[in-house]
Amino acid sequence: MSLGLRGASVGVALLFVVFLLLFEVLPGLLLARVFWNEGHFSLASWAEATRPLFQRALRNSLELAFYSALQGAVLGTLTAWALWSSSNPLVKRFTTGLSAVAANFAGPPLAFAFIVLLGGNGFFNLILKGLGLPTVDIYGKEGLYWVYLYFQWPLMTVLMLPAFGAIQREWLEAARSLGSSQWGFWWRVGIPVLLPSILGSYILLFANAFGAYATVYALTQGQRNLLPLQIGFQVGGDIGYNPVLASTLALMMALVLAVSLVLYRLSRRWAARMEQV
Amino acid sequence: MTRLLRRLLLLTLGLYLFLPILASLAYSLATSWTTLLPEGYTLKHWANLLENQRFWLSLGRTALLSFSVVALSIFFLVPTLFVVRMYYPKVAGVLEFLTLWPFVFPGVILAVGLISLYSGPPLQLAQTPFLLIAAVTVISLPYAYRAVDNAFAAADIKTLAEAARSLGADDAKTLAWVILPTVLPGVLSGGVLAFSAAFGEFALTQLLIGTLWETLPVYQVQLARTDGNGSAAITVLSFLAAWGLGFWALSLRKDAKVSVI
Repeated sequence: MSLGLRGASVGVALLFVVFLLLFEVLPGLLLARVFWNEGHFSLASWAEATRPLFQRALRNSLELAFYSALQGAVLGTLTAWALWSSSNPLVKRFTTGLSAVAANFAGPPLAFAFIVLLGGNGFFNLILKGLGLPTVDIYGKEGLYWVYLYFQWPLMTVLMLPAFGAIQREWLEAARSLGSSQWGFWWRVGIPVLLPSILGSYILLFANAFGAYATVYALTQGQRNLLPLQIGFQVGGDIGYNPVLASTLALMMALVLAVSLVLYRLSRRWAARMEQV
Repeated sequence: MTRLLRRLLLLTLGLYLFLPILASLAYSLATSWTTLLPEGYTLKHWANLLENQRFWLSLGRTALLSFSVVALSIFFLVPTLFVVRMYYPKVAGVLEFLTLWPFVFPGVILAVGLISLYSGPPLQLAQTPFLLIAAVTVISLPYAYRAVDNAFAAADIKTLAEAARSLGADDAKTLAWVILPTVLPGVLSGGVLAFSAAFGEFALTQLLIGTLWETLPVYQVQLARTDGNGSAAITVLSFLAAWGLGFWALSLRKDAKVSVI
């Protein structure tokens, strides 16, 4: 009996490993096949994937991820601070729950919601027009930042809450009674304690924007030169089917994400050390 | 000063999260909207959508996809984490590594690998819903894994099992009456998160199967080209589903941590 249950569970676990190999690990590893051409190591596909068009796509994607993460990181850190310093538990619980849920809301529904708000005749643009202010072009470069902020801001907020939790409010009071200003406290104690978490969360936001496909596809119908869209075109677009080029571009993208993952793990280790002190 | 800044921040965040959805709701109910507020209100767009067979078919496929992903995730994760936590704790590191994989290989990249792997024999699965279900399960794994693993870790099942055994319960009874009820909220929360991720999935669906097996997000992209108001109604429905599921998953856990990695 004992062996039966344990045996059955081990059986399912092994099945799970096979499933992961077939649908997760193997498809990922197989991308590296592009470096083999008729049994020889070859960089031909890499040369094709680094053509100016794709170089620009990579640069555009890096730029989008960099700034969109920066916006989210600044606003989210400030919001986490606001929640930390708030003494209203109801506001805290509500905002935390709201942020945790909104951080995962993306894709076509989000893109179309922003088009309603910031499109040519969008509600918000009509207000801006009425006030004589410049309107927002949702289909332009800045448009993507507005949409991505919708998940980046709450994501940063929830990611930063535990880090703020490590800062005791009594520390602030103690520092102030010793004559330090509020700014002095944050500069000398608060920010050093928070820094590893800020960096780690920033990296997550960066990767989040860098790999995003659904939202930008729905917003622009694919009409932007970004790396995920270029990859999609090579396997599912009307332009043509080029799995070798798609794999090479996908490897390029995976490389950036792998570096992000390593940096994230390092920052987590650093954060754990900081919070122990 | 601090208080003012705090209120301003939280208020702006609230507006930012609700305004796009409220605007979509208004747009789905508007007769026409060219001035600050809609000129009139109508249920026509909703009626059109609800009478449309394509909408119901795509919703049905989305539901089928989401339920399959949840069933597959729970089927794999519960026995696996049970044996790993109970007998082979050293394997936990490998499992964690495997759940980090989708971070480096997100939907778009996974789709490329899957298409080149399954477009021909021996396993010609490309452009079938089966491949899509497997792929979406992989992508939503980090969410479900976290929730189920946390439940097993918090329950300390080894001690629980020893206590049950010393009281005379056999393994099957221990599992059915002691361990499963303890981890159930965590498993349920993992299932709800996986359901929500599958419900909104777009990248894999569009690239692996597209309009051959149209799910709700793919249908919305098609519909938006001709009927903005109907598309806004789908936005409202997706929003309600995602937020309802999200808050449900949160209520099953004590902390409000967001599942990333």
